[in-house]
Amino acid sequence: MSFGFKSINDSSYIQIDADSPRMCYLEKGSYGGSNYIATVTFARAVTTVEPPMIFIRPSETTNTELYRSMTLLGSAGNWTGFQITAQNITYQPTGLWFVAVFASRGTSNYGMRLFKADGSMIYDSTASAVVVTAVFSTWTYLGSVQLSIGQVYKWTCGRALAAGEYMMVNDFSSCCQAEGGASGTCAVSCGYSTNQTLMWSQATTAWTNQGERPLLMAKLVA
Amino acid sequence: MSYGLRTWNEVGALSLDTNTFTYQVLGSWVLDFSASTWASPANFTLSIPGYDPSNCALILLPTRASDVPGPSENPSNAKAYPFVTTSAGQASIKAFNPSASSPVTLSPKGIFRAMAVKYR
Repeated sequence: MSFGFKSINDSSYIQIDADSPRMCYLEKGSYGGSNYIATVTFARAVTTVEPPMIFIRPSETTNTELYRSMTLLGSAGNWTGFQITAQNITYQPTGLWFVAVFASRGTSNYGMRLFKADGSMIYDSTASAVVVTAVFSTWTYLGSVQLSIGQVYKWTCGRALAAGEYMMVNDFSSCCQAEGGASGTCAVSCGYSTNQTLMWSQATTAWTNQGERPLLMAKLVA
Repeated sequence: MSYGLRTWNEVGALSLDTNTFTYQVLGSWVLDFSASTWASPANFTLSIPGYDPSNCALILLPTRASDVPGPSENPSNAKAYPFVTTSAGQASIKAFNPSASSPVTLSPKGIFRAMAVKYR
């Protein structure tokens, strides 16, 4: 770093500097659909080139939902919202969400802002911090199950979301690879009662080792 | 708190304490698979000083709306997640699953933002 400001915490983690900006929460809300697709429109478009990270906390009362896809709306520099789709078209996905980016935007007249060399804002003290509470990279294959629609492969990564936690769904918006011309869906579900987060792929033949696909859990602080 | 930064908002509430958020971004890269094919797969090896699989993760974020299937779109290997493995100090990102054997298997075509995160 040749320009700006750097903050290092008790554990010697470099957390704010112009080269590795902080993950900043921008907006939050709840989602719910009248059908299997829930659409969220941001109050203000996210103007970063990089796509924003979408964190969701699925409803605990409808936790059999599988989230089959997450699509960002808009394009680089003008992300306007996102859509979440349930795997089973008879479900209506409901829950809470927040959106975060590695940038910031200022709305307050009070506090501190930091800018990097290209003039873009990397930190605004009024934006709530996103606290990363857990990351699981590797998935354990649990076997395949027969659902009402097709063969579904199932993996778990350890635990469900704890109180107040959200999970990032961007990396689960990509499909699971499969052999040949076929491909598998990628879906996630949070089993609060069994304390497991599950990844599912509906495919004719899936590979049981899909590599590392991290599950990032985070909370917002007030 | 012995090291770090705290800020407060206009009503005096603590808005940030660098010891309450517990991650560090070790690095980020753009991985472009758009020209990757079975015959010529895009594979990447990233050198990430300080990366320890026990407390770090490498996350790939699709960067374009067209990199992922839409709500009513069928899945495609062209929109699949590449095969990621990590070890001390480095990460390997391959277009194809190591078990893939059929040359008709489509390569992922996405452009991904790879982000190495250290957490506790």
